[in-house]
Amino acid sequence: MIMTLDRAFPVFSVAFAVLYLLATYFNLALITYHPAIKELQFLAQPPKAGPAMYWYGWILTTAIGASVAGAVATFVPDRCDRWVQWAILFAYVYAVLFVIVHYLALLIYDQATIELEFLKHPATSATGALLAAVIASIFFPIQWTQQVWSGWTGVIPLSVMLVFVYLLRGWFIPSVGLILR
Amino acid sequence: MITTLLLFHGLLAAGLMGATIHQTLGVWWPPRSASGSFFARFRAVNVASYTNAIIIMFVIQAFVGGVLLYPTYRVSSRVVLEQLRLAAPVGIFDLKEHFSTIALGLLPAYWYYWRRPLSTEHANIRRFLTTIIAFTVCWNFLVGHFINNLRGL
Repeated sequence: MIMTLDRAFPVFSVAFAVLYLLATYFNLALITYHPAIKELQFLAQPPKAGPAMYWYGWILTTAIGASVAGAVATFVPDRCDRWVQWAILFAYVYAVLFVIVHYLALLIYDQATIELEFLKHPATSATGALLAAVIASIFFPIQWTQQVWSGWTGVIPLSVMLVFVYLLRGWFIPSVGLILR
Repeated sequence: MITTLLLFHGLLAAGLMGATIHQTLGVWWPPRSASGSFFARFRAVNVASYTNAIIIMFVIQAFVGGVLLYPTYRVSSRVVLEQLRLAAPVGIFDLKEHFSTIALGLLPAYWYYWRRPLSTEHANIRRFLTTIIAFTVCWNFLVGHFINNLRGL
């Protein structure tokens, strides 16, 4: 088996962005820091005597996960490149379609004259996006799946940044509303 | 001590912003000749030579801002901003925190693609990563400055 050490760097960066998003979303902090009392605790803990800081814990979790991903990537043989590229492309298309299907389902739910409660369930969006992604994958051009695209190193972290803007929209929307009024 | 650190953080941020803007403009818009206008000379730098300096400055910035200053912000400034219902400043600072972390994670790939000799096949991804890092640095500078004006440490 040939080790491709060079691959570890881009894989680390991409995995870091994705894992950081998951760590913050699900609060997978390895440590919690309580700045008011200067106390450090293992895993995510509730605030005590002031705010709790999870950021260090998220970074620690992410760095460990991304290092493992980078290390694993060095052992993946070159002949698997096509499958890796296909898997990344499929996962990316799925993520984009999930967002589209989710909002489409909510739009239909709002406009419908009858109660369609199932449209609000995340499983509906997940299943719909999966079906759409499978159909879309049939039409992936051959040249898109021949080798791992280096552009993922920029596209995936940039997408994660946009997801953070979306997740934090609650902080801005009231201010934007006030400015527009 | 906090004021000294904050000044150091601000000065280093200005240096980092200058370096990333030089590199971004140089990589997107290389001048046709070395001489020319001020703007052409601004872009006519050896862009690859900035890489290690940017990485070192970014890591120092992350340490100073994230480890030495952030706990004080969390305890003294953010609580006040929340009490004053200044939601948007808190939100943009949270974005600064997340963008910085993602850019910090991008540094290994950034270093890898800027290794000499520069490969022509990775020219686009070099531009892309440099732009993301430059955007993050500029965002951090502006947000940090704004928050400090609003409620300093």
